[in-house]
Amino acid sequence: MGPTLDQMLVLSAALFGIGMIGTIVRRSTIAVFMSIELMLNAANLAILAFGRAHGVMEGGILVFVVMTVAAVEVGVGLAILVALFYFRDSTNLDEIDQLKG
Amino acid sequence: MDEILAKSAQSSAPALWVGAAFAVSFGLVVAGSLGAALLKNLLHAVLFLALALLGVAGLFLMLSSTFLFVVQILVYVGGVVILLIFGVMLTSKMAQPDIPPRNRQTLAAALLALLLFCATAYVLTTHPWMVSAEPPAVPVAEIGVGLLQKYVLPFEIVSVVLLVAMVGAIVLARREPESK
Amino acid sequence: MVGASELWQQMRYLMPEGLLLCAGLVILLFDLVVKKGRSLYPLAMLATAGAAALALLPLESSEPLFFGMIQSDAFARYFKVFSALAGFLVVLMSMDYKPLPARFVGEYLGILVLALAAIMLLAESTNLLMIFLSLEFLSLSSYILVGFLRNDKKSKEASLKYFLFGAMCTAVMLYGFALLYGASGSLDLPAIKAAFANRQNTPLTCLAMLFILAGFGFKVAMVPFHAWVPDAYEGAPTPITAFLSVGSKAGGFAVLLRVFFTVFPGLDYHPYWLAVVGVLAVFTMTVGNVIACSQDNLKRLLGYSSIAQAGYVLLGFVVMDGRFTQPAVMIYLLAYLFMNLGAFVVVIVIANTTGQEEIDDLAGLSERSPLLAWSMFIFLLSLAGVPPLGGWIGKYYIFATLVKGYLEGLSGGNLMLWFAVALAVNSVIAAYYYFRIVKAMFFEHARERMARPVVGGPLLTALYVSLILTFAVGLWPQPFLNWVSRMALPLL
Repeated sequence: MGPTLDQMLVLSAALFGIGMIGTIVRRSTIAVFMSIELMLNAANLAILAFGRAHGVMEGGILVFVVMTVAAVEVGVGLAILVALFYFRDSTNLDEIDQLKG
Repeated sequence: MDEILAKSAQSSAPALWVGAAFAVSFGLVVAGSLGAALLKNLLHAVLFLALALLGVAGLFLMLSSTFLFVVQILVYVGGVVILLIFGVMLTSKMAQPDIPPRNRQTLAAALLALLLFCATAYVLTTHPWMVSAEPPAVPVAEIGVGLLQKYVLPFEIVSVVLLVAMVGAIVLARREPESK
Repeated sequence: MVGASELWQQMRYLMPEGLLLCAGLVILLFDLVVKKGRSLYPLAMLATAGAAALALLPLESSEPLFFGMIQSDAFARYFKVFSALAGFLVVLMSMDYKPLPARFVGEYLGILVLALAAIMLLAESTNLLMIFLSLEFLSLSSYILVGFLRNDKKSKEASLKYFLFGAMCTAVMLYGFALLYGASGSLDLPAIKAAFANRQNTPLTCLAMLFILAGFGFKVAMVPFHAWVPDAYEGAPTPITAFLSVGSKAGGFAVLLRVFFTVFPGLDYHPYWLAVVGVLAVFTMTVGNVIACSQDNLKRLLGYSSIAQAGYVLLGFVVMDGRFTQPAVMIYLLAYLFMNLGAFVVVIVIANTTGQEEIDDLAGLSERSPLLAWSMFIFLLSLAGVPPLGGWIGKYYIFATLVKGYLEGLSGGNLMLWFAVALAVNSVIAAYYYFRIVKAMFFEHARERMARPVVGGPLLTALYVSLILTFAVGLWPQPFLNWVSRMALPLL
């Protein structure tokens, strides 16, 4: 009745690909955070679609934990970012060059 | 509440409505994620991210996962997006408009991601998933029981992770007085 | 259904990590009351030593515990001992590390101790959710520890780069988990294995394995997921650099071994595996070694060296044969633990003396402090794989694994010989940059006003422990080898 498994999976693959482009291409740290969130959401979508298709609850719990951890991750990431701002005035990754990298 | 949502997402709703809802969610996800990943203005990008996350929430509902639909909206749209907006605001004075928002690898990255998408989509759609036709939706209660029974150990560990992140974030972001 | 009393029974297998978790929380709590953070060091030392002792108790069970979340078998016990030991030495090293902010010692120690518990959980997880969670636990605490230095731009930058890279690799890994879950309908590794039991290698399994390798490869610093290593290593507080180079790397290898040995043996994926992992391993060690040659900063150099060492260990995975791979990887990691931590002890002493960590700061070390110079010499020889030191035993076993794989006619045997040759060539390249350090220490003269390094009690203890065990693994390898092969995963 609802959307098929294949539709969901293709959509999640697209989301994953877009997130991947973002993480590679963007210069702004926050934009990279956002792209990583997109990739995590793509994985969540796939997990939940599989969980629905298999009719088991484990997928739901994994998604729940991933959401929690992702929120925590954003918190820590922003803390690092804020700490960095005391030293410099840019969030552009190309200018974070104290280390040779 | 639960049953109503599940029902409306499932068989009792006319196929047309379900199709339309899926189309809307699909559009939200694709447009939102493209905007979030590529828009130059960070504030706009965050708002597009919120759209994409809402779209994902809609898809969760269509997968008859009412609980995760709510969590997605509370945690992501309500929490993460707000946090990101804070981040953008805090750092807005550092944004330099004259710098292109993307680095030089754009084309290569786009090709790589396109390749990845095609490979993943191909594999995902051709793999013979051994799934049953239409299993009944998993009730919320089962997730609650699962969290406190089978997944009780991870459930406890998540709390330690939250504590570590909280302490760590405070230590990291705290500004030290200059004279010390 | 398992009852509460039974869960209580199962807790005894979790004593080492339970102790560390409690100790971490207690340290964070005490930090609020205690005036001087330094008084928390004994507590952390006690906790890590206690966890090592508890992990040495022969308490193991091949049954799945906590509803299949973890399996506290001998293999997990090995990595528990490993991480507690590494943690003990890292705590010792931190005691005299001057740049560490005195006001935040409690938070530092608490998070460090909790990160050790995360490694233990990672090594025993048998469920995808549990693996994801403990990996994130370890990653998050590592990001925080890397950025711990106050008023230090480099430390924060290192933390940010490590964070961005890590978050991305985790997301890719999670997608791989999603694929495994889709193919099997379960998150438990045994169930996933059963689903793959008699199936041919499909494109799906290849894709899932590659995605998962991104997450684990990030932890062990495998090319192309190594980009964070030099920056994070240089910017982090040096004890944390040491921790990343042994602790979190060992955690990555533990989960890599467990997942690839318990999930995938049912698959006939050997030729793909051989080519992909072998080539990645050769790239890893070559990139690490070649770039290390041009480094002047000791921490960066040891960072690239640790990438190369990860490449050597990964070569053990080319022969997917439990009899050879596991003991070789485990003995290598054991030797690597002591020689690498030892080298970082010397770096800390140098940094305390001169305030920086360049190769030039080692000039004339043999005149200023013969003990340090000779210990560093021993550690570098061991890292280069010169007999009769620990590193040599490790390298020998990896090499022997490849040769055995060839002799036993495993598929792709000829490739294995080529990989063995690559290992030998890389050891020669590595000898070059290790020799640069030796040259600075013994054949160059100290600059003026270079103080004599002072080695305090804790650092001296860490130095001696590393030194003795580097020799012990090399000179009397048999007890260690016996122990390691007893601790290997059961063959399926």
